[in-house]
Amino acid sequence: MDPREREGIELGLASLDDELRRLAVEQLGGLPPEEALPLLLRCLGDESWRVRKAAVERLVAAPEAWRAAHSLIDALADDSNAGRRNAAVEALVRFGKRAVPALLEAAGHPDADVRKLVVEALAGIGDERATPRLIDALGDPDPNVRGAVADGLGALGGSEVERRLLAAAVDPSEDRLVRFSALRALARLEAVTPVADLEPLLADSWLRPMAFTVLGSAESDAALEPLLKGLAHPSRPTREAAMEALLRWVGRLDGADAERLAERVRDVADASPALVTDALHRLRGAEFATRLVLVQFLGLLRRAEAVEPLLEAAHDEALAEVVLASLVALGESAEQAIERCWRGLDGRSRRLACDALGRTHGELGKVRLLAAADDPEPDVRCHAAKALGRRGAIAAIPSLVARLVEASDQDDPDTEDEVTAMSGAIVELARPGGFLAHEAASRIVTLLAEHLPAGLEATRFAIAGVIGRVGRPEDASLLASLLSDPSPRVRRATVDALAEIGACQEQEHLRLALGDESPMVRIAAAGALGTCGGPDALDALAQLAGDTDLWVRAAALRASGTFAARTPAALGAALALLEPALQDAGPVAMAAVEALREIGGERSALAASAVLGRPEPEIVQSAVRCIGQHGDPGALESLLPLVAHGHWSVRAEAIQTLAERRAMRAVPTILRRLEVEQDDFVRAAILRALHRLEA
Amino acid sequence: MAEPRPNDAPLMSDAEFRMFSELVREHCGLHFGPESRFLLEQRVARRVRDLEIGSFASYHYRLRSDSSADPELPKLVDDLTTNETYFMRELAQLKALVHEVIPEALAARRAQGGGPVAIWCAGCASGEEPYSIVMLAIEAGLVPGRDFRIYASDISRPALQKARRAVYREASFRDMAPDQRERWFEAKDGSWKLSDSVKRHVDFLHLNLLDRSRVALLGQLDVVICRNVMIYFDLDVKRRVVGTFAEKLRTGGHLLVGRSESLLHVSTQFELRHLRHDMVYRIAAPIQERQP
Repeated sequence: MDPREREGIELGLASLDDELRRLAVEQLGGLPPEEALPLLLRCLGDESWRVRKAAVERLVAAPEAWRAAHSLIDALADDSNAGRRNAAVEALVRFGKRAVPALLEAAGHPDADVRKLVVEALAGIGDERATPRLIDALGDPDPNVRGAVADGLGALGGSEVERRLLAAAVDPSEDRLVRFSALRALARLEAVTPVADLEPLLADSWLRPMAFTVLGSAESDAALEPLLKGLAHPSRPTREAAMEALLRWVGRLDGADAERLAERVRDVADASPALVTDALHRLRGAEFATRLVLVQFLGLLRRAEAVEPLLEAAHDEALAEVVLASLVALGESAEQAIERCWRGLDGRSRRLACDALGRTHGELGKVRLLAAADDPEPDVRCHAAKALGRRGAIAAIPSLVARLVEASDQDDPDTEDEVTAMSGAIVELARPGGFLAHEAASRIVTLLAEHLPAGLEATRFAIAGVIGRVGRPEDASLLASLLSDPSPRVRRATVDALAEIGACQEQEHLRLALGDESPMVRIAAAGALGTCGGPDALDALAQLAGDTDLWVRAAALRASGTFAARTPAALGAALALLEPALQDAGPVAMAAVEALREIGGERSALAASAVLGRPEPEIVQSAVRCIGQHGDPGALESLLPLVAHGHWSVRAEAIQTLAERRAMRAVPTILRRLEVEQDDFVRAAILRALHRLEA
Repeated sequence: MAEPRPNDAPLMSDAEFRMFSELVREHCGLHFGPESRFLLEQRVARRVRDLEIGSFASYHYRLRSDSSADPELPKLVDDLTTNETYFMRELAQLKALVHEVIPEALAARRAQGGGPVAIWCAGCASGEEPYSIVMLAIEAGLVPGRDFRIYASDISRPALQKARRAVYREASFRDMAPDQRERWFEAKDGSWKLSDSVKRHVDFLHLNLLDRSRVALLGQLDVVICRNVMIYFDLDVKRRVVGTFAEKLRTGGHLLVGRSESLLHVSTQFELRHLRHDMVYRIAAPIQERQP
């Protein structure tokens, strides 16, 4: 390391600015391990959590640093610095299984705090070797250690663990903290626990919520009665634990049984208005895990008054999908509720409401979506459009087409999303096999065609694209008229659309395009002919291969490769077209090699070897790939000199190709290259290749 | 080179990824590491499809050899630099600029008989940052044109186009108080149009930070703001860019970088300065005076 950098690190570590100390810690990786390690261990006790975190990251990334596990365990005894202790635990956990032996040795440490932290580290690692020791530690004299052990066992599991945890949970002589931890561990393990064993705990207000959570995994119906009663309990934690447990039950049961239980839950809710009121209130302030339960529970209740609060809760994106599912479960009730509160919803809630209405089926929802397609906020319009497309709302076609035209007329990057959304929705409505798709498609194309004469360039471009995606061969004539459009962008989109509807078999529509004055249109036409052109396509492509624009020539050659690959009869003619092009300008030769690769066969590989001496690395690389795929062993020999090529990418490609083809004769050449290779990327390729060849 | 799969996630080989990332880095300093590989792949694949050019290899060749009047490489860079930003981002630092740095620099300029404080927002994306500064400065009683001038540059032409249009959507206002928005913007078709009283005080330039001939278009400066831009550069490029900033700044000039950025190991030409609102970097002396 440069002495200035070393000095910079020292200054940084001594700085009063925690950001500078953190950055200095990041640089410690540049020091030899024996120097870096003590500094990192020292930084674990820094007053700034960001510095401590950086030290943990560096420590974990340092080679062989896990050997410092004993030093970290010593740090656990530093009762003057909680940050240091926690950082040490985190580092030990991150060391993983390698730290387990040292931790097991320390499990009998005389200091109870150390034992507790050791247990936490073992639990964090989750190695089964720790299980017997942790089970023994359930008998530790210190209740804090026993509590940590119970929590830790919740990360490990196993039938013996569950048995011992249950014993601890129901033992009235045990410390309540330990009993609580044991219950929490059982809940985490989703242990199936006899209801009768847990019943005595339901009288304990502190243990009851966690006992309810455990009952959520019980198998006996006997668990349901206390849980349903728990919904109406005056204690909020009890109610919320009962909700969570019952949701687990409903999720586990089959359709009819689940619905019967859901009905019982709704009955309880009807009889306990405070249950719903409080759940709605808590949607705003509770922590995430609780809100997640509440959202699902309110969805289960199917209460219309929950709709607006649920939409608001979905402002937390992590809840949005769950809220959506709850709203969809509400069905037409959700539609009515959304209608009632629509005017008061902000943009984000309106967007989510549209998403929900896209999955419900009532008429009211459809009407709302039709109105939302004209919402003042563009994103709401987009969501409404998608929802209308999803519902197959044919009545929305005029509105969606109008919006598409309006948005595309602006030809503005900001309206691209709206053009995409409207196009997608329109195409969805005309999707083959969709509801009344044929009628919808006719209507769509008719409406779109009406906008063509007066539409601006961007609009005509969008319309051509949509008609192509609607995919009706009978629209070929309409599209063909757009081949005379003044805009090359529109003409190009039209060619793509014609290819999309499969209209290039006739080719007559593409003749205009092949003679177009714009290279981009000719390139698109070449691509279309290659993909779906008829028997005479290669003749047309041969003409285009003499184009004055080299990118058009390249496109024609690439298309001829595509055509020949699907038309074996054209193989000879295509190769005759491609071979001379290998001596053409770079992009053309490149396209010819790629076409040869697509066509395949030994003749293609042989032809491709003609470019191995060209100066452009991309072309040589493509040729190597072609020879690798299609060449015979003799052709592979021609790759050997490329192992020492002047460009790293060619060397790497050649070495990789020779290894993939298991060209054992290349081993001495590759080994010689390894001795002098300076490029790390190529060195890695060589090592992989040798490994493969040796295997 | 492998071909992109238009209807699927494109799959660039490791060699292709290196070739493209090196090319882009050489052109404009943008660094694409493994963590941002997906973005590079997606954007390159889109250009390959749009141009119907057939393969990553052909596209790379085109980027490398393009000598046309409308070259392709800047278009790819436009696609790669669609950075999202918003008004009043990292507000504490903007307050430090408006309430402490500008008044101090203005006093120094006036003492020397100079003009307004010259500020350069290097990498302004769609304009939210320079416009935020103008708004805050006016609210603080400073007079644009008389007290300060703002130049804002970006390498992305679409971003600059948006900045010049100055019409913004909801996402740009996540850190702006509603009353402030009401004061400076006018609701229009679901978007918000910036008042001309702010808009006209920012001069935009299309500028690659590695292109020293273009940077030379800017005169001497008092403040450079380059926030959350250098995070996309590797160390070598950071050093070059910060070196350019040092050359452009007057004695005592300030450099503001993002909250998560630091000049440690990047430059020794700046010193960290603790202000009331935030920390900023200050150049000690113009570069030519420090060199032996």
